[in-house]
Order: sequence, then structure tokens, then C-alpha cells
Amino acid sequence: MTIRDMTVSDVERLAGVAEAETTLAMTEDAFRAFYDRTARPVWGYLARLTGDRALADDLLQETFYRFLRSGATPETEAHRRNTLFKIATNLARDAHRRRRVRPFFLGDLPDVASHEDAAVTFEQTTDVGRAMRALKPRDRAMLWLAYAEGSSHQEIAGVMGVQTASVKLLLFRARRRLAALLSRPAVKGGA
Amino acid sequence: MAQISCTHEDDVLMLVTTGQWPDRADAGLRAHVAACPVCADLALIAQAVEDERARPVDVALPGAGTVWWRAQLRSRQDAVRESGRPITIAHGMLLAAAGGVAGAVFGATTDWFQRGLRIGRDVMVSAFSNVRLPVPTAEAAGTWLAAYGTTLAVGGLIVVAATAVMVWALKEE
Repeated sequence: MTIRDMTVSDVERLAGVAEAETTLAMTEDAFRAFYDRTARPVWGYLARLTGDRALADDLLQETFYRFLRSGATPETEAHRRNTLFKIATNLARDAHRRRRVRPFFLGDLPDVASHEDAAVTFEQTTDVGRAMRALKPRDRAMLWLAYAEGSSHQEIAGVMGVQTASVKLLLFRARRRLAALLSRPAVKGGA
Repeated sequence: MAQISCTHEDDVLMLVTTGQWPDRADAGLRAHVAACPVCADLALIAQAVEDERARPVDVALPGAGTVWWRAQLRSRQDAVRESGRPITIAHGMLLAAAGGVAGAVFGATTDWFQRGLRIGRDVMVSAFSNVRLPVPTAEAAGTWLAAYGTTLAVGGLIVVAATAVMVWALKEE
């Protein structure tokens, strides 16, 4: 049973279990501040890795829940953030294994920019989105962490579970692949 | 072997991520990027991903309070489930034992069940009467069945009951 499936009586029954062991890694105030800073970037990362907005919503909550239940007390904000992205990466990887999902990019989403802005940027964005769809999930994740999140090679290695020394080469290859895809006429032409 | 890194990468990446590429880059760096495949790819891809990141998305994320409340609730739910698991197993074993006792009483006190066992024994005896086995003989098998038939039946009932209870408990999990 997921939380979304719970009925009011389930909630009341559980609320009565005051003595149950409910150890979470943060206080509520600390969590609220941390969530406000990190939820949107984590959602964006998950949405691009999974290709499914609804799944990204679910995985976002699962990510924060697992972070809270992990019992880990990372010392710095950067550590907490990396732990969060590592959990998100593993969840997205599991979801990808369970079902082969089509990664989406923002060309697929309702555009909330002004019509004029959209006219200028839509073509470029759909090019990038279309090209990134053709990449392997690991390449997408590495490029996103490196250039959207500004993560260092060491941080990427920690999140992705690879050797730090390998990150430079893996990023180089991912960049080459994406650059090649972006330069293809099919992509440029929006096919 | 292809070159995979360049000493100017950090400069290019810094300019891209701060929104200064290419307008604020000096002419020397721009010329270098035009000639260096590593930096050219880096500038192109970092800019593309940054543009993608900066694109506004219409998404309504749940509030921090909601996520916290759900985490609390689920944490309790998990704690209850974890603490309840041994009880579930104990309940299962108790039910299986009770089923076994009930089966034994039923087997020992019900005439038609006993008759059924005797018929089964006779069928076995007649089936094995033509078979020449050194040990055990068909007669010995029939005797053995008569002696232990009830025990066998009760044992079977216990196994079936225990299996059913465990399947039920696992489904509840």
C-alpha cells in the first residue's frame, strides 16, 4: 500500500501509533528548508532520467523519504545534496529496469514561457531534448549533473557509483555523442 | 589517441555557467575554442544543457509540509509493519497448530473418515497383492497404512493448513 492509497481510517489508525519508532534524519524545520532548496532540481533530474512526469513526482517523494529514513547525517549541504541525487539516480535506474521508459525533455512539456520566448527557444530546446533522448541513461545523468547541477567529478563519481578517474573520460565521450547527435541534419531539422 | 581534456576547459565552463559565453570571453579564448575540439564540444554541450535547465517548467511540486507529513506517516506505517511481522508469523504458526489439532480430532473421531482410510488401505493391499517385492510386502504395506494412516492424513492437513496460512500472511504483507 502506498501513501496515496491510504484511507482516512488508515491514517487515523497510524496516527494513534505514537510510540512507534519513527526516526527521521532531520527535524521538520531543517527538512522544509532543505526541501525548498532541492526539490525542484531533483524533480528536473528525475523527470529527465525517467521520461515520465508522474513517475518523477512519485520518485521525488520516494527520494526524500529514503533520504530521511537513511539515518545518514551528512555534514555539509553539498553532502546532503549528493546523497539526495545518489538516491534519485538509483531510483530512476530501478524504474528504468522495471520498464523501458522514454526520456523526455522540455519540448514535451507544456510551455509556460511567453509565446515570444517560446518561439525563439523552442526549436533549440527540442533539438537538445531529442538528441539527449538518444543517449544512454548514464550519459544523460552525467551530462545533467555536470552542466545543469554543476557537480564536480568527485561528486558525479559518488552519485553515479563510478571511479572519479573515469568521470573525465565518460563525460568526454558523452559530450562527443551529444555533439554528434546535435550536428545531425535529422535533429537539426526537427525530424 | 584523441585528446580528451584541455587546460582551458575550466575557463570555458565557468563562462558558460555564468552566462558570459561567448560575449564576455576574450578573443584569445574564443579563438582557442574555435580550434580545440574538446573546448568546442564543451562549450556547445554545457550551453545546451544549461539552456535546457533554465527553461521554465510548469510543475506543481508537493509542499515541504506535505512531503514531511507523508514521510512521518509512512515511517510509522513501516515501523508498524516491521514490528508486526513476528506477530504475523506467530499467528500463522498458531493457526497451523490449531488446524493440525482440529484435523487430528476430526480424523480420530469421524467414522466415515476412518472407513475411507480402511477402503484406501484395502485398495492399496489389492493393488500390491500381485507385486512381488522382497520388503515390504503388500500385506505389510497395508498394515503400515492402517497403523499410520491417520497420522499421515493429519500430517498432510497440517502441511496444507500451514502453507495456506503462510500464503495468506505473505499476501497481507
